[in-house]
This record gives sequence, C-alpha cells and structure tokens, in this order.
Amino acid sequence: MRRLLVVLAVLPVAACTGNIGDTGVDGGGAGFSDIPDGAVRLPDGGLCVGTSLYYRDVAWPNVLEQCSTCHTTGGAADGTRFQLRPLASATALTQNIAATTSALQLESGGEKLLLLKPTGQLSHGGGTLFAIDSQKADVVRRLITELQNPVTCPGEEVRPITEGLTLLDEVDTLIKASFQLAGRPPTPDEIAQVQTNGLAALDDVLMLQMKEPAFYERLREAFGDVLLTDGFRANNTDTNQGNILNSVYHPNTVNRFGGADYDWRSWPNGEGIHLVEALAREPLEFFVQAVKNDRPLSDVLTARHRLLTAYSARYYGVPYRGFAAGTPFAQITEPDRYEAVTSVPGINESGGTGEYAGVLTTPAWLLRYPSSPTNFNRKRARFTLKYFMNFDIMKAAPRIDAAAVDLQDTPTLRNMQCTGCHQLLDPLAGMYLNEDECGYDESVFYQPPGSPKYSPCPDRGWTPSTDMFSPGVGAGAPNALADADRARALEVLGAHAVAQRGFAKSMVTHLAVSLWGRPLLVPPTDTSLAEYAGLDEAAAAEAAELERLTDGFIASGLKVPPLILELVKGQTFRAGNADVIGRVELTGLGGGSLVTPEVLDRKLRTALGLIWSDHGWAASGNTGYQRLGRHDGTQDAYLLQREHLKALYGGLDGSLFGVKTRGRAASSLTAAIIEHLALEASCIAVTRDFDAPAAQRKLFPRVEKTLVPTGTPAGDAAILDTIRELHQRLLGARVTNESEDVQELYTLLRDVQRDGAASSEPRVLERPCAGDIDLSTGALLSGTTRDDAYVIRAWQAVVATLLMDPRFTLEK
Amino acid sequence: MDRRTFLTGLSATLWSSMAGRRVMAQTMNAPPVFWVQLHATGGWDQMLFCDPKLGPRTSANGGFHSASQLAVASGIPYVDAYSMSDVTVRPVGPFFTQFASRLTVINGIDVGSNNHDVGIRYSMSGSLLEGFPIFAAQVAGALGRGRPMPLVDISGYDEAGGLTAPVRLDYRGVPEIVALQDVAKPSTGAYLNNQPTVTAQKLMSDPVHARVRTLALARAQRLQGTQRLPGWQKGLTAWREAMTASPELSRIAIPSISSDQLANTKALATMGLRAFKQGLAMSMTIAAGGPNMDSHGIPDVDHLVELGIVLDLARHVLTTADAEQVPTIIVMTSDFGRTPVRETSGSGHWPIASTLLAQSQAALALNLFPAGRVIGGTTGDPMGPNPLNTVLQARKLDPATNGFSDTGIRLTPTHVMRALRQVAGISDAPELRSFPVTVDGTPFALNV
Repeated sequence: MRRLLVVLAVLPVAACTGNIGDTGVDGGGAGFSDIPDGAVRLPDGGLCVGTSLYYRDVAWPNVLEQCSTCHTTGGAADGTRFQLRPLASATALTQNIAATTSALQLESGGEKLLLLKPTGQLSHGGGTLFAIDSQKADVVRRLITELQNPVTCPGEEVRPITEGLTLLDEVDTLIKASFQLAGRPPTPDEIAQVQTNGLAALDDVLMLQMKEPAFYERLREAFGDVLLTDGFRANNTDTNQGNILNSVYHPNTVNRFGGADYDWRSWPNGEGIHLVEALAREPLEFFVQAVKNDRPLSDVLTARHRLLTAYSARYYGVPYRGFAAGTPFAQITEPDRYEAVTSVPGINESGGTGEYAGVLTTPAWLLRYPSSPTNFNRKRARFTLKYFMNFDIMKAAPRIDAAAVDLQDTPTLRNMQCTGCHQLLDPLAGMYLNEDECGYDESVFYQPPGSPKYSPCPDRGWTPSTDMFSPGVGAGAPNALADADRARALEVLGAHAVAQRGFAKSMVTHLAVSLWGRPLLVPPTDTSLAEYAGLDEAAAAEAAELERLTDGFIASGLKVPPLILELVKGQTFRAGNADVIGRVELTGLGGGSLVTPEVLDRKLRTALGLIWSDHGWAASGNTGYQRLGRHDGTQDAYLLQREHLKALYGGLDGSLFGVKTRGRAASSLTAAIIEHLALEASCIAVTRDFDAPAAQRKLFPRVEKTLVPTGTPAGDAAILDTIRELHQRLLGARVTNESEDVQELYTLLRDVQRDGAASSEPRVLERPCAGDIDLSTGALLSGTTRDDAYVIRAWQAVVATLLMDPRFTLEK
Repeated sequence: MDRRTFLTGLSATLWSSMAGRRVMAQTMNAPPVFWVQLHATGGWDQMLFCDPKLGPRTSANGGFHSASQLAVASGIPYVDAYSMSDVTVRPVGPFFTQFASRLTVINGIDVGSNNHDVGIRYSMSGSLLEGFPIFAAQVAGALGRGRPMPLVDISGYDEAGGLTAPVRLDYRGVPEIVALQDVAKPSTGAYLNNQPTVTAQKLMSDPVHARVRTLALARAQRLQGTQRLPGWQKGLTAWREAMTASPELSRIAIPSISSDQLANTKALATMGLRAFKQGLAMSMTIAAGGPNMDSHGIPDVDHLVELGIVLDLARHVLTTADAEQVPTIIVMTSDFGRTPVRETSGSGHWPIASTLLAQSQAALALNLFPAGRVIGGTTGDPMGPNPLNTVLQARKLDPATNGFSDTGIRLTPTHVMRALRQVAGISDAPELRSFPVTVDGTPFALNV
C-alpha cells in the first residue's frame, strides 16, 4: 500500500525536474537524466515525474544503491537510523521511500545528514562517497526536495491511512479531555454546550478547564516526566540520598534546627518539607507560570528571575513579596505561592554579575544533571539539546569506531569519530561554565571564571580551547560566546534556544507524549519486518502531525492552551476505533494505555469523592518526624507515594537511581492494585455517598439505600438510570439502559442483593465500609453502620465492577 | 575426575556431536532456565577483573598495579584487583576462585558507543534501536506469558518493547505487595481518637467478590472484541492477562525489607528465583552500581567497591539457585568498558566491553554451553606494559572455532544476544518476530 505520495498537485515538468545536468559529473563518469522513461504524459503534453519514479529510476541507481550496501540489515551501518533494503519489489520501494523520508529528520546545522555524511561534511562510517559539488550531491538535494514535497502524478493517488478510522465524537472527546486535563468528568452543562455547539464549544469549555488547579498539576506532570526534577520532591527522595537540601551548601540554613541535612522532615510545621517542595518544583513552576500569565512558553528559558516561595526565599535569605527575609511564615499568606525574585545574591550572582535563565539557572535542574571534573557539563548540554532543542545527539552517531581513535590526541577535539558530535555538544557545555562544579555531590551556585571557586576544586574554571571546543550556542566561530557575555552565558543560551524551531517542537513533543499516553513512535529500520510498511506509515503520520502542531504552536506565539486544543482535536487523541483489527498503520492512535497513578488518583477524588490514602493523614502532627501528606498536598495518597503504590503501579519517581520511565501497560501488580482499589474504594465511597443529602451525592442521587430491586428491569427505572449514569461518571461511557453493560450490572445488583439478604452474613457494616468514622481525622460520625437489606453491598459490587472495568484505568 | 575435566577430555568428534544435539534441543524446546540479567550501571572497568591489561596503571593505588596480581582459575585468567590504599577491598579474586568453573567470559565486545544510554540499551538488548526489549524481556515475552511475574524487575533499564509488562519491584514499595496478596483485605488502618479505623476482615464477601471478578473479566473481553485499534488491542491484552494472573501473587513469599539496600536487592532476587521455581516468574533483571562505577575521577578502590556489589549479587543468585536447585544463568553486562587512558583517578568510557555468563550447578547440568573458558579478547599484554595506541582493541574471531582470526568477525552485543537466544530456545519464537537480531556474516555461537 502506498501512502506517502498523497500530494495531488501535478507540477509542470519544469518544476518536477531539477537542473542536474548543469553541474559536473563525478569522476569523469557519464551524466544521467532526471526524466526517466516512466514519466507520465500529461493531457497538455507535458511530463510529470512522480517522486516514487524519481526515487526508483534516478536517485536509487545513482546514489542510494551504494548507500544500501552498508545501510541495511546485517550491513556495516545496520542499527543506524537510515536503513534500506534491496529494491526488488514495489513494497521495497515504498519502504525505502519511507525510510529515506524519515532520515530527513536528521540534521546538523540545518543541513540534512543525508547530504552531509556521504559528502564528508560530517563523519561518515563509509567515508566520503562523492563531493559536495558533484552531480550526485545534486541528486541528493533534489531527492530531499522531492521527499519534502512529494509529487503524485495522475493515476498514482493512494488511499488515506485514516480511511476506516472512527474518531470520538465531540462529547466523547470532551469526556476524554476533561479526565486528562481537569482530572474530572465534564459537568452536565459542559456536555450540553458541546452537544449544542460542537467543536467550537469544546474549545470554550476546555479553555476554562485549563484554568483549574488540576490542569496546572497536569502540566507539572507532563514536563516533570521529561525534566525528572520531581525526583527531588519530598515523596520521591530518600531521607538523606539525592536530596536537594545539601549541608555542603548553606550549612547554617540546613542545620538551623540542630540536626543534619536529612532531618528536614522533622522541622517544625513541615518547614523542611515545604522547602524541599519549593526547590524541587521550581523548574516546573516556570511552565505553569507561563500558562497562568498567558505568556509564551519561551519564558521557561528566558525568564530573568528565580521562582521562590516564602520557604525557599528564607533559605536564600532574600525578601519575599515585600516581607523581609526571616519573617515568620505565619505572618505570610500563601507562603507556598511562587513569586518571581529577580535577585538572589550568592546563588545566581557574584561580584556584581549574575545570570537568570528560567529553568537553566535553578538548582533543581543543575543538580539533577550534575557535572563532574571530567564530564565538563556535557551532560547538561546533552539534555538541554534533547529537552529544549529537540535534538538527541546520541542518535546522531550511535556508533564510533574505537580502532580509529587516538586517545592521546584529545579525540573529542581532533578526531572525526568524535568531533561530529562534540563540535556541537561541547560549546553548549561551555555555556554552563558559570555553574560548573567539581563533583556529583556538591551543590551549585554562580561562580563565573575569575571568581574564587569552591575550595575542593580550585581549578574549576573552564577548560582551554586546546582541550575542548570553546563555549557557544552551536558549532563554529559564528556561534561562539562573546567575551562580553561570558558572565551571562546561560542567558545567551536560553535566548538562542527559544528562537529555534527545535524549541517549539520539543515543547509540542513533550505535551503530545503526555496527552497521547505513550512515547513517540520509533520508525522501524528492519525492512524485512512484515509490519515495516505499516509501522513506518504510522511513524511518518505522527511526524507529520508533530510538524503541524509545531507550526500552530509557533503561530500562536508559543502559547500552551491553543496547542492543547489542537492536540485534543487531532486524530491521534480522538481516534476511537478502526474498521478491522490488524491495521498496523494505525499504531499509536487512540487510547489503551494505562492511566498514570496521578490521573487515577484525581479520578478517584473527583468521581468518588475519595482520597485513597493512609487513614488519619489529616490528624498527623506538626512536630517530630512528620507525615508528608498534610504538607505537600498529596494527603498521603497511596498512588502518589513512592513508598506505597506509585512505582508498583507503574509510576515514576524521577530520582537519580529510581524509576525514570512510566509503565503504561498493566502488570500483575498493577492489576492487583486496581482490584484492591476497586474493592476498598467502593466499600468506603458507597456508604458515605448514601449518607450524603441526595443533591450532594456523586454516585446515587436517584436511589436510596432502602430501595430494593424489584427483580425486573421494568420496575427499576431509577436503578437502571443510576447504573447508566455511573458508566458515564466513572468510565466516560455513554450507554443506554438497554445496553448489555447496564443490564448485566442490573442483574449483578439484583442477584447480589437477593442472595445477600437471604444469607447469614452480618447486617452490621464494619469499618472502613461503615460510615461512622472520618477516615482522615478519626472523628466519629453518625453515618450508616447497618445494611439489613444488603442493598449497600449490592451497590458496592456494582461500583467495584465499574472500577475494575478497563475503561476506568485505560486511557479512552 | 570432575565434570569439567571430563568434558575437556572428550574427543573432538564426540564434542561436536554433543554440541549438535544441544543446539537441536534448545531450538525445539525452551530449557527450564531462569535467566537473570545483572547489569553494572555506569560502565565497569574490565581491566580490573576479566580482561586484565597492565600498563595504564602504574600507581600503587591502582587496582591492578603489579603483574603478580594476575591469576588463573579454572582456565580463566583474571586480575585479583585491589588497591594499596585499602587492601581489604579485594572482590575479584574470591569470586573468580569460587565461580570460574561456571563462568564464560566474553571479552572484546564492540559496543560501538561510549554513551551510557546507548551502551545500556545495546548491551542489554543486542540492538541499538530504542524500544528494543532487553534480553530478559525477550525471554519473558516468549516463554513467560500468563505468569504473574514474567519479568521480575529490580530497578534499572527495563525496556520490554511491549512484549511483557515488567513487574517493577522498587524495594520501597515491596511491603505493600503483601497487602496486595489478599486484595479483599482492608488496607492497614489506624487508631484515631482511640477508635480503630478498620475492623472488617474483608472488604467484600468471597461469593460477591468472585462474581465481580468474573464479570469484570467478561466485560474486558467483550470490550476487546469491539475495540480494533492496535493500541487498545495491546492495552487490553496486557490488562486481561495481568488481571487473570494477579491472584497468583498470593503464592509469592514477600521478603522483609530493611534499610540495607544491598540486602533488599538480594532478598528480592531470592524472591524472584523462588517465583520462577513456583512457575510464577520467567526471568529477572537487576541493576547494580552507584555513582562510583562510572569512575571519572574515582579512585580504583571506590570502583572496586561497586564491582564488589555486582559480584556479590551474582554470588548470591548463584548460591541461592544452587540451594534451590534452580537452573539459572546470569548474563552480566555493563554499559561499556573503560578506557586505558588514566585520569588523575579512574578513567573514562571505552566502547570495547566484556560480558560474563555465570551458570548455577543445575544449569551446568543441562549442558547448554561450556563454562570455564574465555571467548574473544582484546589487544595488549596482560603483563604489560601497554602503549595506549595498541591496547584494548577488539580482536576478531573465527565463528567456526571461536578462536582468534584477523579475517573473522568482531563481536558486538548483537552477536552475543543472538547466541543467547539460541541457548534460551527462543530464536524462532513468534513473539520476537518484530525484534530480529541479525548479524553480518556467520553468527557467533556459544556451543562452538
């Protein structure tokens, strides 16, 4: 199945062909035509050369066939991201076109590696194959143009891959998006708006949802999964390992209560916990602040300030919102609120100079990606490129030939095996020169060249240009850091990064990955795979979608909410079903991934009104070794704590030696957690929901705990309505009372009630199912403690079944 | 005559004949082996144990500072590494002395990268491609479907490529698994205001629970019949398999957890091994190594501490497997090797690496591949001195003999993982069809 050549524009022959014949011929060989015999004759007499024909009859025999001798399964370049197969069939042609198109994403300095490598402009395992000004190079240039704007001649049209794909309708899209963005089901009013006005109303509804606190937390999670700075959060760190509070740095502050640095959990009123949270989440707060303040997301690298709370401001000894340093927290309203602080002497400034570049100059970022005496900030540079400039340098040259490296000759500066990457990486590493430190365990602070360095590493200035490429925003002299800017190098880097398309694309990618609930697709390289064409098609479609989203994001001024709307309305998010099973090309579309523990926790809170947590979290004290929940907002929720179920369920903690990727498929542990959750949450929530006034109930506004099923659906309309509504509330599933989903749960309810009432089971409800105690405080309540007719427990069975339905724990 | 002596005394013909039968057996039926991937995170220094090269180290504080440290156990040369700064940190000698007869050392593996992420991925999976499953996941995906813990995952890189869902056992959460072994039992409650928050024995009666469970699985099956997108199909398959298998978790003996991280890891490894014995697990992956493994600027003595942890874990798995009589093979890898260039202390990355295969007694009895030998190697002289421009380059092998040959193949992780697939009997597994490991030229085999 051909699917790439979907551009139906038919170009005149002049536009379809290049000027290949104008340039010289390599090595004295014969020239070749760019109008193959198979060109399509147009009605007006002109010729049309389709991209596939050009590929097969011009590019392949003259250039690519030679590439395929190494870039193929079992070849010398097997495993690289450019893989071809022998051009023996139409399928092979399709796959090779796809593979070559994918390879266009590989660039250096804005030029395609497809051209730079064979011409020796960049290190190439196969050496220099032809000159940059040769005819073959022109073929490559023309090929690049063709693949970027593929031409389909009459008779070559193909079926769109989305044919047979069903999208979620507007309401289902709203339901899915609401759970994702706001962590709750949409309200009846929101549904009504979308039912009436369609996608236009969807925009309005979601724009409002994106002002809710849950959305800001969702943003933190999306970017936290990337930056992994949440590894420093109180819930994710050990008491004395990987700690952002560091006694080496500011010992008087850390030890202010007479204990060691790992005693911060015992500081009065949770002050240590508040401080850890403030420092750990500062990088992510830059993303939130940009959205809250309707600012472009470029602020995350260009903001000329730090974001501090009252706790971190005191840690640094700087004023906060007009309060002098050291003001008791009790006198400050909302002391956990982040505020922009434009001057933090000693941390970001020294000797009259300083640098503030959003995320890049936060301790959480710098400590999460530490330098070392031999790494020279390359780690920081690598992740700056990867996270903020959409360039994974490790994919540029995954292989090196050790036999060609002379270790005594500074190979990172002089050997082409190394310089291909290091000429780009090392200048960026140099941009961190003011934040350099000498080991993994020391904290970081601004210390520009010439200033006294921290004593254990007095020589940690910057390395001379004879050892390493000089600081700059890219390779080469034009990108070098000016001497006048050395004291604010990270500000220069931040400003440069956000001006690149790569910044926009990286932000789009991070949000897409989060909302799609899976990593990006990896284009297949093994052309012998039966699924190759389908998987490649899926990857290509995804790549195109990301480019589309990036265009829109840039056009919007790098604003997040419009991007989220585009993501939600895109076919990847909205894909609902396919016409047949086995369409590999639809890989990556729609749901099926396990929801994250954070999303699941929010669903429980909003759908059931339940915090699934240690009992008594609200009653824990403010002295001694304190429980985290009441201080860090997690309320000791099982699904949010590393020492409880978070990692076992599939969550990550992001810490240096912890779990850095999410598990998005259910394991047996996940399944056990889901089942345990279903039984316990239903037990706790059902009784308490019945005890609330009907108008305030989340689950049972239409029925009472005294309503016994009659035994026939016709006589139990309120029960059927309730079951139907529970499907929508818990699963986001719109079903009818007559549906199998509803009818079988009605049967379950009826049978469990009937059999339970006839059984010898106790009529008394026991805790935690009994409603006579507040599980967060231990306060006694006057709630239900009996279930004489077994109605409550029958409803518990219904709710538990719904919580065990895959639609509750898999993304819609 | 011990087993090894007996084997080495066999005639070439008989040996060849046995090897042929072995290959046939592994291809047709997967042997009952518990496969353990033990990865030394950070990049171990192979010159300090299995691929000794004197010369780069001249300092008395270097871990290999004298040719007198060279030793041989069961035919395997190694260096009894220790630093004069602390002679008590001497982990290599005891390990090799104890286990050399069960070891297969593969030296001179060209990882082709000196980047941690790439090196880990390639060394553990046999492929440079992102998303390619590690070997333990390949085994679990091919042979462990339906088991509650197909891949026991004790930290570290655990890419499974969708073949299986690794059961991640972050030891901090392990005590919680006990609670999950009886999902109908209420979570531990508390006494608040002198009131117990939990008095119930069960959250739901057994008959009702059984109905709920049956109905939930039936609804999931019905959903899968209507959802045709690949993502849903994959997600629902995993969900249903996991939900079906999860009650089996109750059969697993959950270890106690302490503040000793190494002890915790050992306890979890024991748990995994016993789970395999019970038919509950299929393979296991363990990551070991703190920041001093990646020994830039790190004295050898500190690197040896990390290496000692890795070897200690291997020792624990082997001795436990022996005690439990479980056929177990440990695949020990690291991100890559370390360069012969010495920094002030420690060294940088080097793409030429080593892999160790260690077999339990029960695994050896299966006669899957010979132990007590070294395959492959690198340039340079163990006795030194070794100029930097001639040392630690991978030497080529003749795959017909596994002897050195300048016209042979250069080993890569792909070669090694392909050979391991052969031993594990999963070379032709349909589950791995999307994850081929192909090599240029004649493949490498462990049975040669």
